[in-house]
Amino acid sequence: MGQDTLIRNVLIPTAQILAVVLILPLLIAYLQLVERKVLGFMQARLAPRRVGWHGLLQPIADAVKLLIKEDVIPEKSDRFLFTLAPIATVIPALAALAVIPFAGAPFTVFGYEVKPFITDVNVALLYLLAISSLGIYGIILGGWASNSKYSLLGALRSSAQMISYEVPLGFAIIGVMMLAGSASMVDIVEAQRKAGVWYVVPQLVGFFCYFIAAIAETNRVPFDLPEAEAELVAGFHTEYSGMKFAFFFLAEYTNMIVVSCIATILFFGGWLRPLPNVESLWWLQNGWLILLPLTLGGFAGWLFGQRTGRGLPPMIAGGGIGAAAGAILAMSDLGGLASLSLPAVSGAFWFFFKVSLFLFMYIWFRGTYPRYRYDQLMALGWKWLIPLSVANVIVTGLAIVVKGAVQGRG
Amino acid sequence: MTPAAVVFYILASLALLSAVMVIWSRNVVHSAIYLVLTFLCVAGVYIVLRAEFVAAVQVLVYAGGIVVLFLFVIMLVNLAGTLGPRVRVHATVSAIVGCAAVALLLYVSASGGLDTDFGARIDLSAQGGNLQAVGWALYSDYLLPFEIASLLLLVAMIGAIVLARQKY
Amino acid sequence: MTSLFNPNDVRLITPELVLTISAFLILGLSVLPDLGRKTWAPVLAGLACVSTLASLLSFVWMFGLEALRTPDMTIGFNGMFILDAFSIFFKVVFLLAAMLTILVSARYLEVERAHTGEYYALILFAVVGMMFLASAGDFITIFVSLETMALSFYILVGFLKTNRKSNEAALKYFLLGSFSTGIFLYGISLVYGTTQTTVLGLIGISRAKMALQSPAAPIFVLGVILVTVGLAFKIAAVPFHMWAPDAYEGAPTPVTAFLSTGSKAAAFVVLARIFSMGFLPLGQRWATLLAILAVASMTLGNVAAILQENIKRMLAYSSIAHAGYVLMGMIAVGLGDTVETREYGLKAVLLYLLVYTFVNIGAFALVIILRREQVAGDRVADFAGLSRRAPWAAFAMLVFMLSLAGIPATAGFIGKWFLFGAVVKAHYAWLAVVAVINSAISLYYYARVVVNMYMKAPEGAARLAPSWGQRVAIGACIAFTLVFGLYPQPIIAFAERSILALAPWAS
Repeated sequence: MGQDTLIRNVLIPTAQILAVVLILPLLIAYLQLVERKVLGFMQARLAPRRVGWHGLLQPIADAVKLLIKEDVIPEKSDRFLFTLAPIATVIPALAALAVIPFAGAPFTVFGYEVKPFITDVNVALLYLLAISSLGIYGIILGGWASNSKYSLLGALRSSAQMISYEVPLGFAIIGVMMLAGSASMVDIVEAQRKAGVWYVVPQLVGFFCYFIAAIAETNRVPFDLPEAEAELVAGFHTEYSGMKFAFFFLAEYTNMIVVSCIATILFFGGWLRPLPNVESLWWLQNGWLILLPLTLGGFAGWLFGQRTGRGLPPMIAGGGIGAAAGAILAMSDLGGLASLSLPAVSGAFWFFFKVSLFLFMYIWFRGTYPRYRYDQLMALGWKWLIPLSVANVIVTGLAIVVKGAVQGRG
Repeated sequence: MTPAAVVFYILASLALLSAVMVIWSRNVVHSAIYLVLTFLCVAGVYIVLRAEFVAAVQVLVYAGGIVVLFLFVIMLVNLAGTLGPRVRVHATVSAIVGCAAVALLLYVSASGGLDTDFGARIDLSAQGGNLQAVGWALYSDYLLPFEIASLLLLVAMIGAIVLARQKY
Repeated sequence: MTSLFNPNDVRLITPELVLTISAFLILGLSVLPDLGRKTWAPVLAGLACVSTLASLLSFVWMFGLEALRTPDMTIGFNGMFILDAFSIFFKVVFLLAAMLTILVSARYLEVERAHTGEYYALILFAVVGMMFLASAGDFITIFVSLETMALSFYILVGFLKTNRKSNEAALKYFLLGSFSTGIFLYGISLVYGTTQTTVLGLIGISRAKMALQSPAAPIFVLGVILVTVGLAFKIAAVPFHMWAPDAYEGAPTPVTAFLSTGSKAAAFVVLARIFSMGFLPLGQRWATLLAILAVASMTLGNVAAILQENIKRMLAYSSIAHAGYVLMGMIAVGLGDTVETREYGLKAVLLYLLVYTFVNIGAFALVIILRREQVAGDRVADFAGLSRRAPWAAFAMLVFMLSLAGIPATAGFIGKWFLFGAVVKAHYAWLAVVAVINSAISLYYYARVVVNMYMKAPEGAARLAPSWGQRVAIGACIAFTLVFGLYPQPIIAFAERSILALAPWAS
């Protein structure tokens, strides 16, 4: 094996995997901070602000606390499975990221071409479904091995819930697969570029089913029955502490991110800019040049409004000024900033922008909705989502056939 | 040995080992976990044989669906302690039959009756990949069995409903 | 290889489609709310009966009356589906069995308070599975059709949900059935692995010989053995019969009747198809295997039947013994040194299964009409004095018992005559001797029922109240047994026309 192939086939994939696995926990730690901040804002209270400036170091403190906390293993638990469970939850969650393309175009590092995803296989969607179905084991085993009523009940609930919602999840995805004619993530995004429209438009019903089922799959509000604190203390992870608890935590947030990534890729064009086929909107490609000033201006305006008691108008004004400046910057290529913007970077920007919107939705839901009752949850899954998603598949198939027939004649 | 062969032998022996552990383990839940491991290893073997679709479906259906239901039932009925002493006679007979089958396979394998090219001859790229190849097969040659299978699943559903509902 | 399906092929499966669509219809209608005290179930029973008739008639529609006599062999769905005289013969048998079963079911289910539309839908689905089985030309089609049939039966056996015996029977049948399916499937996979095809015709023409000459021959033979074992489970041949007595006893009696005739005939179709199309080059080997099964089944079935007090159990053991008899025909197919002998063996199998269907359903129909409120009616003692309570019913049972025992002037005799003749022709006369001795043993327990009916005083005076459907069914069975017992030429000719085309690779 030559040095070149060694680098290409071994070193670069390893580096990619390491990058994903190492950056992710940090990302999740701050996602947690964002969640607390947003919830705090929604509930009109102060979120963490003691550790660091506005609580910016809070995630680090939390991580350190979890690391050095005593690792309690209950006396009558099944030690082997009790330890296996958190690992079995984290591994599938991380493994799912292997097929997520974060951007379209490759970039070059030290003369080697690096693709912005770990791998692209032709059964990526099925792989994702398969991997996510393995995630149940950690929960079910953790709940059983703890030898605690709350844990067991939580585990039973969550496994029933996840099995039930896997079905509409799978059916919702099939519609996209039929339109794209492929199960590869990269091909699906490319198919959306060719179609000139994000698949959320023809597959609105599919997206609706997918999004609801995905929230249920990740056990988030309003489907967080497995850990309904009022009834089950903390559900399947009642008995867990320290690092093992952190693993469950990590897995839950990784799943949230993965699910949002899939939604972005399947229904919102992945790394494509909005309206990818409208030539005159080419400058949107450098969206970060607009969005960054917009956010900064808006934030500054908001702070100003808070200080001076003028409310929201300064924020809108600041955001508007920032956006205008950014748009000029993007269109005029002032200062050569836009040419700095590699295709990979702009793709990644749009991708992560969409993913963060989904993540924000998750938090928003958590701040808004009450929890479902168990029978309501099952009724929703079996009586509404599954028929709806199956109907979506049938209608999509018919539409493709009709369209093919019409085009064939014309 | 090619890399594919090395991976195959590792996965295959792991699969066999965990299959043995399924019946060896005294704890039902442990058995179920070993079963999952077996399925995962078999899925790996499918990948070595370039059948990615079958591998994904293997994990999705067997590891992700069926064994979860096993676990579900195990937890609900709480089997702990109901496993009595093993039936010696049956175990002995099963062991003899199993060993005989393995010996037969080894004999055939030693005399060169088994292919060991690990799917190197299979070329799916011409048919547009694994998924398309399976789809084509299902909707052309195997259309009739495919449709009968849908009937089979319908019967299973009706059966579940008929047997589970309260009234006649 | 990969050609999309030919829309004209749909025409070939018209009879199956008719049944499937009516099963859907029945399922849809069975969710209708009841009208006061009346339910829709009798209407659905009528619909099911009509649909089997329509399915039968669709053969005439397909071929016309003249061409029906010797339809050409048609292959559809890329070799997955074979429509030949052989499959049509069995489809007719299945449809007749289903029709008789439906006729005797309605009253029984009302007594058991389990009269719902799903029952008939499941019966029809089972028939669809059997019919596809009869036409299957490929291991994959065989497997899915076999499972469709078996799954319907698992549910039907446990259809009386409040009856513990029924539950137990369903569970045992299900567990052992799925176990046997696993063995069967493993056998198929080994055969596929060594022959590289699942198409029966291909295996028979060349691949079986190739596999036998390759170093992998032991695996191929193991595959054949496992396929045999899997099918032996389905036909309930000893030593794979353990499920049969329990399943037959616990199941609703009409289901038992259907199970012991339809399901058994279906398993024999597969057996005949696989062994005479696919594995004929190994004829000598599997014939020996089947001979062991046959001797064991006949002997154990008949001896165990003597000991039974419950008539359903008795008939279960008797049906195990009958499976042993029918296997003799297959042995002649495997051993025969001329094409004539082999065809004779096949003819005997076909004939016997046709006769057995009518006779056995008739016998079970009598057990069914003995079932009334508060009376289980399934002990041999329940037949005591039947000749005085219901002379016609007693006469019917007499005919069926004599026919099962193989007494001349009944159809059962004709069937046995050909089976015994087949093994004699194949130079396996000792097997015929064993079978004759076994028939003599069987006479004992069949006669016991007759003695009970005619020479004992009745225990109760309750009258029987068979429904019209049951009367028609029993009448048809008696007529069949007696008419063709005295004048068998038509059914012999029917069977003769319908044997598998063995010619190309028979020698």
